[in-house]
Amino acid sequence: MRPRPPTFTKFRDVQAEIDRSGAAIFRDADGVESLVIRYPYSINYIHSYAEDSAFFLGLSEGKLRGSRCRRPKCRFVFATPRGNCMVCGAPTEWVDLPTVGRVHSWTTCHFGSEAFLKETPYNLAMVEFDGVGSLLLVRLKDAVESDLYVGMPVRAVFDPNPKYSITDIWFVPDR
Amino acid sequence: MREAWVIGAASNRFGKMPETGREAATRVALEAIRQSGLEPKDIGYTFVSNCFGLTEKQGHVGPLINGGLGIPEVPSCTIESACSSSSAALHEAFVHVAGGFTDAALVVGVEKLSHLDTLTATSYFAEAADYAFETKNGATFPGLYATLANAYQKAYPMAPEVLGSVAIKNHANAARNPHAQFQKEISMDTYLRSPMIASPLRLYDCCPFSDGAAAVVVAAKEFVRHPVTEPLVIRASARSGSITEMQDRPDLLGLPATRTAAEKAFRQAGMEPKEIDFLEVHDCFTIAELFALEDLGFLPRGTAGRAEVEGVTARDGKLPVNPSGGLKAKGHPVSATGASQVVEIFEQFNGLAKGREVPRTETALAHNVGATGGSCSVHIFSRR
Repeated sequence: MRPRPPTFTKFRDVQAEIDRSGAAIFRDADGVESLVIRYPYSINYIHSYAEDSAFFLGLSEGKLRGSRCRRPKCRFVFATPRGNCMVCGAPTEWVDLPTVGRVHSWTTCHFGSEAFLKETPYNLAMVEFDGVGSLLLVRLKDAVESDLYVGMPVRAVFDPNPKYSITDIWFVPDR
Repeated sequence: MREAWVIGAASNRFGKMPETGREAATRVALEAIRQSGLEPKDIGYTFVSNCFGLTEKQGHVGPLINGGLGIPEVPSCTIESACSSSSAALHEAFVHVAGGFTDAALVVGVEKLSHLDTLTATSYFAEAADYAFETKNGATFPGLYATLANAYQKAYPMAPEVLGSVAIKNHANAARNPHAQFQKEISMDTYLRSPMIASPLRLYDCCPFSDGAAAVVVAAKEFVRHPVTEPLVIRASARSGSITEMQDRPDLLGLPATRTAAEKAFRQAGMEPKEIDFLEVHDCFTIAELFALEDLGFLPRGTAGRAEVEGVTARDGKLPVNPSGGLKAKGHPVSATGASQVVEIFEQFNGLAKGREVPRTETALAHNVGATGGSCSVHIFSRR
């Protein structure tokens, strides 16, 4: 037999007890008591990059590839892999992007998800390229918040140890 | 098409719910049905929104709610559209009722997130963005909206106090809303001293993580005949979308999906912005309230900040915005937010918004955005 878990009226105290023993009883404002427990679970997500594969393989080879609409009257160029044009819907082809550009907009994140917490504060930038119709969202390193401005020239850096992720590329000030 | 009415709307207090999402959802659903004067057996379809139900290891929550209401044979489905989920569910209910497929439909939005630590919750929220190109790059929702804010700031420079005035106004409204998570006012000093989350957005520019549940009953005019509440006539139920990744949009000065959804809604209603008495808009971040006012067509581009500072959007102003306290201060339980905006409008129409009444309640508009504007719903309501 397990002894009855302790009762709390504040949910914060319930959570502390759960951290300690795995179970607690919560009494709400109406005096109703509920048993509270914990059930952890985690997931490994395995997926292909399908038609975006060449983009991520490109990053691992130090190349930044975008997409250009095949329709002669459109020819819109995206800074991201887009199998079909987001303007007209026609199929696209791969195109090499410039590795220098300018900051279109930016922010400095003082908080992030777990994967980025060690890097905070880190900068995000929307980079614009000559001859390209859309922007590329990247991390901007080697610069602090007070350095950043709209129009700032930046250049691409590729991770020498690629993980086949968008984080394989980042930008730095092009001084 | 038949005229569709909102005849009942209920919400719990946003913040932290000890119970599971399905229990909270069932409770508010019962309350909304009781208020509408209908019986659970009158419900012909249940539309549920519950984006993060899987963090509770629970999908397919509609039949569970219907079971709890004693109507297990009634069909249900879950509608997901990120932060605009329950307004999308309301739209589906409208389509079913106005189209004659169902006489009365139940809309329930519910979210429980407080069992997740802030890091995990931030990760889950970011899943409404583009996973491979935004989320995995370190983009958080504050980060994405901050990037929009800096682009807007470059085009229309503004002092930090401008965004601060949005936060202060919404906290003042939430202080009078018993459903609100933060029932306290804040000062400009508190706002300016709050830590930077993603520049230029501070802590008090951001809506909180919230648990909450809200439910709405939609029924055909012919089916109700003698409503026991002051119904909201659904004059427009419009939705729109746009490229979800901000990097692929033509400009960053607002949300294109709001513009197109608003155009559709005003056309449907045969109305103009100047005929709307008050608004509930999607202020997930203070900058988003400025975008909403401009994109919905209430104010010219670049002028919403000034209107906020001058008190135009205050509860007793010319155009009250977010008398509930908005997402900012009432809280933002993702899938419950759209329905809860309707709860506020219902309470204003029915004289239930004690202490936070707006001057005129003949017409109202609800604006609900999914993520950074990949989706948007606009609903327009009027009295009979």
